Amino acid sequence: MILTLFTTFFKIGLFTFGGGYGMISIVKDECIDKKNWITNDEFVNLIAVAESTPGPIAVNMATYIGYKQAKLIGSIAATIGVVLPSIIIIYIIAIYLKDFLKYKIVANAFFGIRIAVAIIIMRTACNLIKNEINNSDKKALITILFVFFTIIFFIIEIYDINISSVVLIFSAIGLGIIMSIVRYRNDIH
Amino acid sequence: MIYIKLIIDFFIVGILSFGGAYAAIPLIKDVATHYDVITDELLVDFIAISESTPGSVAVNLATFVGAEVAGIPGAIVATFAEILPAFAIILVFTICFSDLLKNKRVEYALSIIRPCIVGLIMAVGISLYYKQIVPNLIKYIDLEKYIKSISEKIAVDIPVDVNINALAYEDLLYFFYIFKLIVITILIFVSIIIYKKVFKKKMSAILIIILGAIFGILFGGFGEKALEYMSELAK
Repeated sequence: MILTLFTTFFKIGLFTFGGGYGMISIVKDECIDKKNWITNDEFVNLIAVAESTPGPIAVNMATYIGYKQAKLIGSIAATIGVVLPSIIIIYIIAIYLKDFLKYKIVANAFFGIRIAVAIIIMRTACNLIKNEINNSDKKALITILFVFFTIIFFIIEIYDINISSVVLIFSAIGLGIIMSIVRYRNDIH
Repeated sequence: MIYIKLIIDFFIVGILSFGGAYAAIPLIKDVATHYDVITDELLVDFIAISESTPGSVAVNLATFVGAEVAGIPGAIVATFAEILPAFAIILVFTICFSDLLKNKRVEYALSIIRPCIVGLIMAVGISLYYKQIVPNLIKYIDLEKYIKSISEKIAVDIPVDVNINALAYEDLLYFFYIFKLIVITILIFVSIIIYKKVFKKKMSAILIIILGAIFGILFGGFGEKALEYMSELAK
């Protein structure tokens, strides 16, 4: 189990291009769709937690999933697994290949990779929201929230408005808490 | 001791970097000024490489700075110091609050929070794609007129002994860039669909990334090649 955690997260670390959100897609593939280590809901909860605590999402996820599977040892194995590829690759680049972005073939490969990453992130988001809507009795509300947050965050990204994603995550959490206080009794019955 | 300094510096970065890599970069910039070997130029290169190599940008940057300051031990020490806070916080959270998440009321709040989070993920995907197009988008709104103007430029404006003039060259590069973008996108989509038909399962994210890299290498040089050909023709 420890070894599986390590190798799975090593693989995830190796293919995480384009920051934390690219990795979300790969984690969903490897840990949920293939291995059923955690549920979809748990996964999105985890993203909320990971985004509102310090540190890279990659590390947060490895720690959580590792702990769920094999307690402390598991979380250590998964975390080391996810950062080890970076350490090895960056170290080699730092020593031998400082100019590596200037090679034409590397630049071309990254052009393709950026497109691929954008596509897998959108695909993951589609799968997750489909899952949310199918399993909920508040379909309309969920759809509206999803569309609203997509648009708001998109606008912020595009116009380089200086609002950190943390602020948005916290506003979503605030909304959730307020809704649960105001609507909980009505909706549960 | 250089290692202790690295540990303390990057531990603090780890604690303060809320909200992913883009929060961590300015913090690491500050830290890097503590070390004479890290020049501004070097740091800019580091950031560019960290953003494109696999792994989280913040972790990559820590490895870079550590390696530059104190070799392999420095790289390891800086990296683990940076991820320690994230590791510890999630560990404590998992141990202490797992039961809390099963509480009915908390679960209700989470069911509201989740679609918002998925919205953020969606927006990141869309804007990642959009940012590939955008610096050039406005130019192409009137595509027909634009292509016509380019073809006129190539056929008429170019003196035989001079290469395509700089502006037209830039414009053409942009045009081929967008063309490449569309071609690669379509190829990826087609591969995903064919894969699903043939193997009866979803294509894995890793495979899509590998495909993206291959298509990028195959078609990446296309714009330059086409331009060379065109300037040959013009002669």
